[in-house]
Amino acid sequence: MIKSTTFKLYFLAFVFFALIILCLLTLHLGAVEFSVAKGFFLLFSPDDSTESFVLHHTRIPRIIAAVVIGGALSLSGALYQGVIGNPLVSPGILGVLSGASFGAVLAMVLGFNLLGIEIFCFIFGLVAMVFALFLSFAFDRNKTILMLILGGIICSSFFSAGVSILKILADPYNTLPNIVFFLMGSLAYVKALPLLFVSLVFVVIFVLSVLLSRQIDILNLDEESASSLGVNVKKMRIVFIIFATLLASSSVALAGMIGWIGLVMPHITRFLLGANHRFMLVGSVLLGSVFLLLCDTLARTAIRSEIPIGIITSIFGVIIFSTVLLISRKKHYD
Amino acid sequence: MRNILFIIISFLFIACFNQKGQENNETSENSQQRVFATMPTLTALLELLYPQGMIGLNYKPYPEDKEFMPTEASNLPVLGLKDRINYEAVVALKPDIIIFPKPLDKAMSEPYEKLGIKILEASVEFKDIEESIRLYDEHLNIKERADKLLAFHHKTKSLLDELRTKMSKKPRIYFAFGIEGLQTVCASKAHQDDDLALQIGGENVIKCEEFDYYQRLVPMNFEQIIAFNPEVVFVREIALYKELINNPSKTWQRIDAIKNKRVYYAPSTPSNWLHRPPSVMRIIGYPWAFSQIHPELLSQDELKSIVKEFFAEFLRPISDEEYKRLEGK
Repeated sequence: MIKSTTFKLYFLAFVFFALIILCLLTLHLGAVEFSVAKGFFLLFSPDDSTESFVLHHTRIPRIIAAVVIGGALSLSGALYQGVIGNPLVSPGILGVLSGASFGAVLAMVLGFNLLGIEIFCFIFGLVAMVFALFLSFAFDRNKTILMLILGGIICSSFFSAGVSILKILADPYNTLPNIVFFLMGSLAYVKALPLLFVSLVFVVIFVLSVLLSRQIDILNLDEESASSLGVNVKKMRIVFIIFATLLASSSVALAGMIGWIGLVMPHITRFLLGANHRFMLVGSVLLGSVFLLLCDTLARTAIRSEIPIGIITSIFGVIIFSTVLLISRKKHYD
Repeated sequence: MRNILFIIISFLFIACFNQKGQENNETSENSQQRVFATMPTLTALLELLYPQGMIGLNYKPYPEDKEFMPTEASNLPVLGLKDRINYEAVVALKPDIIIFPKPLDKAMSEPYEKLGIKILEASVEFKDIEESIRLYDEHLNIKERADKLLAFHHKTKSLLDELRTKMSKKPRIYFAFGIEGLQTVCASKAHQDDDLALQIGGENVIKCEEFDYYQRLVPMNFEQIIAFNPEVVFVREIALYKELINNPSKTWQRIDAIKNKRVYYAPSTPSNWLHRPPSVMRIIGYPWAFSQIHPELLSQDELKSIVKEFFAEFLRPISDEEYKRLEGK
């Protein structure tokens, strides 16, 4: 773990510049081929050519989407982990991902277009969160973490069952493949307006979270200690859960189910930068963006067709997470 | 007294006659087989040839498809398909025959065979449609209807064979599946019999050999579609078709097919006419698609009369308005 504040800042600056360089490099990779020099020329002087069109209308929006969604999912996971005080928590903990998936699948079965699917997905993600909070409140009026997680598990199972029912009812040749591809995630469907919405949600929540990072540090302590430090634990917890849910739900609406980022990236960042959320949140966002950008570049260039991105994030997520756990275990015993 | 005797005899006579009538009805009902097909392709053929004997469907039909389905079939229970068949629900409906896809999976069919249910094995490939029709005819005793369907198939097949010799060029086609059209089917050199684009007088821009895909849907992205730049696009989802016709996104506008308004909704009522599954509806699906990309060889009016004849003969008569609806217009 990096202990010096200066080195932490250097590290964050390094990851930030690495992200910028990656963005510029990936601009030149894709099915429509052109040289790096031509790519840079077209970047600042667009013309009517196919290369210019592809660069400005498909690659740049997709790179922005990878950066935003990677950052948003990672921030969502970091917020859940910080507020719930458990590093093994992911954005799926309150059933948000299952709820959002259910919304999307329901919209597909009802024959809605992409925008309708995205709206349903976003709304049902929020509905799932409200449902989980309601259950936790019904179980225990003090809204303890345990009850919140139990509420989330119930909610998640409920919506997962809903997705399974809809999959059985779906036409196996048309609607079912749509559902399966959606559940594997992809940035190929990203459109400008929804991307703008998610980007706005992400930027606002990111800034607010960094500004309120001290509160998250305190919430990370046990409830009594947090209360004695003057934090309204229940209120602040709900606020951050709403932030995290908005991020997760809007990301799923835009790109489908992309797993592991929300769990792995905050974990690695905590391993590298420690639990101080002022650095940890920024680090999570940057690493999440870098990770998803790399995965998406692979998804669109590794073979001639598109690879669903959820598969790639899962494969690399498992490898990276296992490595980090092995290293941390070794250090622990040393 | 004679009158009373006459009335009693009359009653007895009527009673006997009614009983005989009932027996006749029972005999006729008994001669009707109760059939279930385990794959949508096989069910689609059953709907055309023997709807009166069907006991269930494979999946819930779309509301817009129901009105074009045979009335006997449209409200049947959903019993599942492939390995997701509800065994008890099927058995409870007392089928005489169950039709499985070729090659037969014994593990699937044996539980039914043990109950004395006859098992048939039919091909799900459209190239084997004649063999499948004959199989249905042989076991369901529907010679007249099977002959009519075969005759119709031969008529459209020879029409297309003749028209294909007159084609001057084969347009490059992209089959757009999925909500945004970013899934497609590829064409394999090894399976030209089943190459949809080739059959309808075109060329699929996506080659299986280049993509290492042979059966399932191939996921794509816009950049790849722009790179292929197809001349004709067949769309599966009606919402996407309407968007591409009325207000295509900038990305789609780059493609020649959209610029030249050569984008078509592949009809899917009562089941898909072109692909997924490649069912008996290809009998009209092939000429329909051919007429879209080669209107100079097969006019819309000629095509309309073929489709209307098919519907009238095997499903139900359709009006011009309904024909437009089938085409997504």
